[in-house]
Amino acid sequence: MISENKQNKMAMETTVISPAKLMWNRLKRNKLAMIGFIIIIIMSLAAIFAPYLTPYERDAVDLLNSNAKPNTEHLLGTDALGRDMLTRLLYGARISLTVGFVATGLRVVIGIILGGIAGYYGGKIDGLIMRIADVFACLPFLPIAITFVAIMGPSIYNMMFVLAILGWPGLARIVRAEILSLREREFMEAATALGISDFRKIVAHLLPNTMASVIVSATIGIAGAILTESALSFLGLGVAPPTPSWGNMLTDAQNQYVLKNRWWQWMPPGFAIFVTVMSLNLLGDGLRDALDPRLKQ
Amino acid sequence: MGKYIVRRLLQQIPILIGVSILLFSVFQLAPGSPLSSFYSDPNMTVEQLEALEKAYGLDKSVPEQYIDYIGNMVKGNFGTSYQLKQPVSELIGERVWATFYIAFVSLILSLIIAVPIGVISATKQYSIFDYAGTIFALMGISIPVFFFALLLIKWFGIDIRWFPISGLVTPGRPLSFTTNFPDIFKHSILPLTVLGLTGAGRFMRYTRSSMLEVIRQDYIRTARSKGLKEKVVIYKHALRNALIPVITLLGFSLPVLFSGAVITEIIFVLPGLGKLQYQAVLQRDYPLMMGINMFLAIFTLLGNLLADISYAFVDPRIRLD
Repeated sequence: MISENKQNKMAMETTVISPAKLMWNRLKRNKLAMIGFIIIIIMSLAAIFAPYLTPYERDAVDLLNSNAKPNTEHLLGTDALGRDMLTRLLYGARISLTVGFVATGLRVVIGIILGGIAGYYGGKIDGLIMRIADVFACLPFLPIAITFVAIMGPSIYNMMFVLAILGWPGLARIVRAEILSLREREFMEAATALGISDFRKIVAHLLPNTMASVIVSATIGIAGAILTESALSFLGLGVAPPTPSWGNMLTDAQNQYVLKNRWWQWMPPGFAIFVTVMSLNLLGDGLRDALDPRLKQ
Repeated sequence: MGKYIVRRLLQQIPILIGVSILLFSVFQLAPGSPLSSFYSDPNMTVEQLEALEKAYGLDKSVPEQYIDYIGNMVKGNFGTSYQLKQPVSELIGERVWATFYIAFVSLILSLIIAVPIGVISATKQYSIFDYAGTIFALMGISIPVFFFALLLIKWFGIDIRWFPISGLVTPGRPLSFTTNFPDIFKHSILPLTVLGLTGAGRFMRYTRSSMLEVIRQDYIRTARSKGLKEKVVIYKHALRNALIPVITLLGFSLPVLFSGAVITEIIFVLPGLGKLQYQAVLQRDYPLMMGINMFLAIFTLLGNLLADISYAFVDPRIRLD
């Protein structure tokens, strides 16, 4: 009797695939998405292990070696202060990726909490939260981001805060819409019949079911956050030097001489942003297709 | 329809009030007082300072200041710029045309590029053309606008000197579309390319996925089975419905372009709103920053409204109530 049960259980385990596994299996077959995924992993590893990948200090000035072209000692040359460009590119990855991931993480948390509450409770709370979301959503993004940062001062934390506070309505709407439809499903009736608390119902039963669409939106959101951070830092309103970010490394290219004659001082960080954002978008697209195969037949 | 428009218009009012309160509070966080430069002036007496505070309404409480601001705004008075000593509304009025020109023309450019490629991509799904188009669109939405602008400036402006790289006119010539158009056009080629191509990516993805959805519908199969030519089926029957979401995106896009042109304007030194805003930020000109943000927020709301209305207008399936 017991062994029969066990056999049944084993049979179940071999045939039932979790939704996450199913999504991963579909994603694996999408070559472009996998290329994006691998590039992001490589970029992240390069950022994490930056100190071990380069013999130079991040801000080590070497005036005798300023503006050096790429050579065997400095693979990507040096900047006007003789700092090694490859080193700064690697450390810049730390800042740019951190801002992208943390800002999006923050945004997801705010979006999930407010969207979850609005979707589950409905009624007046829903109305209030969604009207607030409307207000935030109609703020002109870049000018407001510039204004916020200008008032609060350029720093990596202000940057993350601004990106999160301006970005949450989209996510809140997604979570709310999903919860509105999930709330009416049978398994929620079962949960109610079991007398489970509201908090547990939301956290353990509803939110896990919204995760797939949240992850898709967050992946594309990270790409957007990296783009905005780089643009603001480029304008001198984001991450302040000497801390390198991919965006503020391009600030020098506003000088025409640098733009014309020293490609190694601005093209590598520019392409780094481009490639990273593109990889994130590829992965995001792949995840969406894996989540909703209807769109890709 | 008229009723629907009026109702949607009224719904925007509380949102606008929310936006203005939010913006006003942000500016309250700003360090220092607008009169900081006077406070540190040893020649100013306490009475003079108080008179100044009174003149600018700074002796009132914050909510009172807010009510004053809104009252003036409704009358079209957005305050006076600290640095330029000109009414904010006048400054916006002077600069808005350059931004509008760049945003509008690049939007049209985006559509001209994006819609045909999107349609062909969808009808020939998984062909080489589709892959090339998809990757092109992906590059468009992934490249940082400022980096793309710098590349174009280097290649076409500095290296081979084909196009001017800053300003909207040659210095000394008038900024007038009627008398000096060729000059303005030459100056706008690079900025328009930047905004047009990056914008095309988004529209292309939208057109493609919308078209993919439509061509799988039953009425398209019916049209084919009637023996209609494939061209007629695609461009007459399918495209019409596929473009409905694209039209909506259009309404949302103009305000986004307006505020998104900031970076392009700064890099190409174009005399638009974005450049004005950047100047205001660098000089901590708060009334000007507030005015521009408020203007853009109103514009965004109108754009969203336009999107809704045009959506209802082109798609009779939409129920208005």
